[in-house]
Amino acid sequence: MSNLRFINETTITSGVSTVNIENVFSADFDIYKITSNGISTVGTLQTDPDLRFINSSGNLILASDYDYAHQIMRADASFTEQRNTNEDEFYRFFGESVDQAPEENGQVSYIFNPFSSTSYTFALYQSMVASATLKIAMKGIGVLKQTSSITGFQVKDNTNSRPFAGGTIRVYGLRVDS
Amino acid sequence: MGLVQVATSTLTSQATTMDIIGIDSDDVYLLTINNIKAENGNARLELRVLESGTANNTSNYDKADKFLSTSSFSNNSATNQNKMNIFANQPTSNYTSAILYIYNAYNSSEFTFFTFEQTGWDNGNILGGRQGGGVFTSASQVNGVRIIFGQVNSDILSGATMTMYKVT
Repeated sequence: MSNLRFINETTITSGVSTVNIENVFSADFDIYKITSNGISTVGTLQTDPDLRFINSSGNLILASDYDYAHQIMRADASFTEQRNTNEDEFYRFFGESVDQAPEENGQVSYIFNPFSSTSYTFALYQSMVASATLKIAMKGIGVLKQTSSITGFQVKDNTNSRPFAGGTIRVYGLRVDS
Repeated sequence: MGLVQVATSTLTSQATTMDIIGIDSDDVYLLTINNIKAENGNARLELRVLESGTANNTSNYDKADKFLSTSSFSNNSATNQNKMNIFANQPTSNYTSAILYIYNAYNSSEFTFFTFEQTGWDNGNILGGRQGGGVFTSASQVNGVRIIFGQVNSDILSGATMTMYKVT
């Protein structure tokens, strides 16, 4: 059996601006892999799909405890850097400016120690998005500066007014056998 | 993609170095490094290859990376080093983690290549990490990896873990 253990697959329902993926992080794993693909919008107005964590009480973590830094690499324009501290989400965690299909996203990320109540939660992420004439790759890092136990996350439309049309998010755990 | 664990190691007491051995084929390997904490601040984690379990400290390590942080970004490169710097300098107060892929390690007629992505707490208590690649420029059979702090002398604190997977 592979040590890359499949945990969850969530398909985004058309017309929603948030998707909660709960009870995927546990004491069974320290490192998780998240993939997403096909995240698109209902209309032709673009949005940035962001991430917020959900704690073990089932509550969204809305505190300004998210720091991130990512390199934006565009096929149509120069590269740019983006970094922020004390935000309330990981901005563009699943990509920048997803659009109406077929202009969607592909993304992979790793989450470290989300369930631990003694360590901050760290992230690595990279994505590629096609959005009209824009072709945007990103590579980034993030930290949630809380030691609360995290059990899930939310994918959210940054504008809250340009809902998703679809997309698939999969979560895996990297099993360690002692 | 599947992963088959070939080795795992957890430090139960602080130590100067930490090894993991388990490469025994020409497959690609995935190495996870987690819960790294330094005894002394401003230390940066570095890597050496193991040949038959012995660390190679010759000047055959080249690397290039993009350093990302919430303070600044930078491009970094180094050649002919005696170890490979793949981590940001880190304070004593928090953990750091990384994912590495290792290529051609067991093939004694090829160099050993690495790609790495690291995230953690940079010196100055800000988010920081390195994303890049490196190569051990000696055609030899590599069967594992050693991590060691450079820049300043520091032990790796207990709780650090490394797990090696074969990519299938």
